[in-house]
Amino acid sequence: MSGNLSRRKFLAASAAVTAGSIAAPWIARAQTNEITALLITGGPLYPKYWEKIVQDFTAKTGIKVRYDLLEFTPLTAKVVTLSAARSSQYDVYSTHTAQIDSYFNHFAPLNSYFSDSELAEFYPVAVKYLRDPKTGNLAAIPRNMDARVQYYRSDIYQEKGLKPAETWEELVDVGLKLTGNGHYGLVVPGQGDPAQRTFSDLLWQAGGDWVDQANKPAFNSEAGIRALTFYRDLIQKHKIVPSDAVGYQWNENSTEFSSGTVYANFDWPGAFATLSNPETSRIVGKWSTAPYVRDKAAISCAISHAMALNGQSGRKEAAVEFIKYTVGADAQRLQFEQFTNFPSSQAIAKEVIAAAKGPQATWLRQLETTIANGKEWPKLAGFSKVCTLMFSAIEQALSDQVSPADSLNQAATEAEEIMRRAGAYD
Amino acid sequence: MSAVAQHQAPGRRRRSPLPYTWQRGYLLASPALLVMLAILVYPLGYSFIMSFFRWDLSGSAPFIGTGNYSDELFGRQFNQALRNQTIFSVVSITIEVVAGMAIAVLVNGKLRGMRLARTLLLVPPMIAPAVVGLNFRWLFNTQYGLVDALLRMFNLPDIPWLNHPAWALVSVIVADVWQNTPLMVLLFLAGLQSLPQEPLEAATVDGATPWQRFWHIVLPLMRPVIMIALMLRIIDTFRTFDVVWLMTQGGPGGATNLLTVYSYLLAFQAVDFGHAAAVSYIALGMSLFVLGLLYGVPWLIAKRRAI
Amino acid sequence: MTEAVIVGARSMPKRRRRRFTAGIAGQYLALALTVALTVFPLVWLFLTSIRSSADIFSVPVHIIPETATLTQYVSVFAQYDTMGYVWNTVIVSVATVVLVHLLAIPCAYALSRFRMPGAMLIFGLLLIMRMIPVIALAIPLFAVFAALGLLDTVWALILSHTAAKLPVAIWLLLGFIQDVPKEIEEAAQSDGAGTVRTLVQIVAPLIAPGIGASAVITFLFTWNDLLLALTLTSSKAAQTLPVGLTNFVSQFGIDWGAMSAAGVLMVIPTLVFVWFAQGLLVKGLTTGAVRG
Repeated sequence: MSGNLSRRKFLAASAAVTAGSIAAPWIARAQTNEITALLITGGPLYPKYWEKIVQDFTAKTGIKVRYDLLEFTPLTAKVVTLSAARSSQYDVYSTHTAQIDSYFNHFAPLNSYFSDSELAEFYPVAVKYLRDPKTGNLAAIPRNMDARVQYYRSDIYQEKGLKPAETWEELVDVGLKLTGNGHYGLVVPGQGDPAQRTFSDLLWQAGGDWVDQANKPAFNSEAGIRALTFYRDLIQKHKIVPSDAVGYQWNENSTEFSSGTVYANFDWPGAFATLSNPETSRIVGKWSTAPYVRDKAAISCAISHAMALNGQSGRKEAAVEFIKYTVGADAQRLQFEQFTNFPSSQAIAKEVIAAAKGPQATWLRQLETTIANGKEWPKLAGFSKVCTLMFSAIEQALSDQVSPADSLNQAATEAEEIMRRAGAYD
Repeated sequence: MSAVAQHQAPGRRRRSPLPYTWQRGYLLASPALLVMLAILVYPLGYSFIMSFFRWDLSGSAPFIGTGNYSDELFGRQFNQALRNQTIFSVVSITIEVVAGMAIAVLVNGKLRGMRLARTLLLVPPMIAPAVVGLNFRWLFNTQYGLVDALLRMFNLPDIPWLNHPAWALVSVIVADVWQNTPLMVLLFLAGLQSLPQEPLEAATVDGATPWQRFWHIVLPLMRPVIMIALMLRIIDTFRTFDVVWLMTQGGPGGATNLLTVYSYLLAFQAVDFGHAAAVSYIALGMSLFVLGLLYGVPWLIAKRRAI
Repeated sequence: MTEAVIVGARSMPKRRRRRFTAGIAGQYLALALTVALTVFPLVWLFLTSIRSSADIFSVPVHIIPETATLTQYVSVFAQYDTMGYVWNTVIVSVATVVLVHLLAIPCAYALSRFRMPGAMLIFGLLLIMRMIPVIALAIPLFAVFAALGLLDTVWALILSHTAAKLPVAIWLLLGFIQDVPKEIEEAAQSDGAGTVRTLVQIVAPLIAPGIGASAVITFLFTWNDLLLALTLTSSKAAQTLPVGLTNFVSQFGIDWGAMSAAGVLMVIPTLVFVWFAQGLLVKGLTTGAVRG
């Protein structure tokens, strides 16, 4: 008798498992004309954008798209996990040039789906860095370009008779004149990937680069040390940047400017829309844009958000249809209208620049120049791990734990070892 | 009454006429054991085995023996994390236990408002670490945060809480102490209230000062409770993640990288699961080792004395 | 009675009516200080949640908000669709509590009453499971639920929380079951009650406070969890409040006001339990420790 009752107890306990297995096929149910996508969001406008894109796509092709939206950072972590589990939950991913080297074996190559003339439509700098340098396979297709320009408080600058800085020296001079009374002349991010982006821009501006001809680390060159010293001094010596910036990522970097506390920063295209919207900005109508600062060269990053096809997907044809649609002319025009994302297609970029007026036109031309001269860091084997190392190295210098030279030299030694082990030199 | 001293190994019971057979015992226990086996032990074993492989997204996963472990044990970033972990655990546990005991002893009386105070003390340990982490990040903001604003109000210099390496470690310790000291207070209060009264009364009659009573009578009697408190905190400081992640992400420059935070960075930013797993297991091994010391050393000493 | 266990700064003879001495003043001071330090971060959280967005970034800081507003709370629901997170969190927490106790009570009963070979091994395993850093499980756990097809469902969260909370619940209940005099069970069993009936009708009611204590603890720790939810969910279908909290951080800003408002909402269940189930909570948190 008690055996019976125990069995009942056991049944009760495994009720969840049973319910789960009943639910499983329901969850996995997907018609042949339905695909799934994990897409990026950022701020209140994105969800409406994707809704419209998916609606239009379904109306045009009859293919349904079920999608989930995540912010950039959680999205990155999620795609890592999904790939580690070889999951086929999503057919399509939003991705980015930043970590693409980790996914060369997980995203299906898109080469065969795009003709050479189609690919030539896109900014070459974006396409180049989405390719596996070993095999030449294209891991993702750029959806929009990301590059930074200077945003500054035109009202305050005018009041004080200042012009936006063009060089490193001017950046410090102008910053010093603006800093005081709880306000700061500039804000830069100083944590993680945003810190590496900022260092990277300064490194190129100082005339340096990440690796040399033989792909060995070269960021600890004279130029690199000068760049990191300048970056640190903005915060620690000149104090024109709030000291908490050492722990800031993009969001707090943007918030410092949009809240009116700081008078200049370097930000992405999306900031143009955010700063124009009274719901997200306290300085509507009080700001303007200028080119990124320069030193020996006027170079900063030109990277891209991109769309990728899951290698595990069982519905590749339909998924590619969707990817093509999201990088197509209509989608690119719409994302520019909605949140001023810069098109990845050169033709559409020309089109929106031609149509733009006033400050927006000026800004777009600045961006276009940045992208034309822009770079991305190398996509060598092991570079994702090198990035983690760099976050720490840069933060250590910025927070005055280690001198810029020591920090970069140490990182260069370790980076070479990491890349060697990962097979970058095989 | 002497609940403190009552220390019974379960299962060791006097003979009973009832059918408490082991088969029936396992039948009752098996659903729980199976769930834990499937959902905890299997993944645990899987990632333990994979910590001996090169486990990333490169497609091939060759066996590399203890490669991941030796890389980390001799690596700079791991050693920084280990140093931080040691400081974090030792300092926050010491403060929590000492302050917890001091507060418990002080408030262990018929004070007015005690019920309310005890209610408030229960709140921090039960609040989501996510809320604690984000709230402390905001409290410690040097421009908009409350703490530096208060310091400025009293004309004291600002403290660079989260942007200075040493202060950042202090900040995460403060958050941990804030959240967990009340738990220690509650534990010790419960312990104090179940102490036998005779030795204390006898000591008072003998004219012992309060300090003597505390040091020579209360503390030795409280030893089992203190041991449990230490055990809980050792286990938990080696698992701390959310609060530190949301406050500093291990920065600046790894100054607040604890072992779990470092492991998370390895897995999700460096995309190197093998190394991440190795770090997790080193952390687990370390907390087992420390617990072993905690319980093993007094046992060895007792054994020595017996000889 | 309690007088005798009052130790510390008080240096007065016992069995004397307590007078207001320096010692007592010290005690009140210590109590007040402790309470103040405990409360002020929460007060700040609340103050941030009733500020206007402009006031949040004012320099110098206004410690007391210039005007109180509920706009942050409105935007938590209107702009961020927080209701969905709340429901998921409630479902996951309640289901976990039920499932944990369906499994833990018989298991604890078996471990404390039956002569089981390997019981010590099970105890060791329970302890180790309590010690696992969740990060070590994240990716394999994800793979397990991917294989079961349960990813991004509340079931994945319920099952994983159940497993994760079981060791603590079993440990806690053990202490309570050991306190039940065996004679009561023996009487019931000699009346012909089977093992399960004895457990359900005799033992369970007797350890009701213990079950209550572990239920409250299980509920709150599940309610608070971030890491498992972050790992196993990717859509509104299953995301919980702590994950929702991280959504106030977007690429172009952190919405501190709305995030604090959501934080205050998250703390409400804690306050409710602390107020109404204080005894159970204290019991749950301290029982295992005091018993050893």
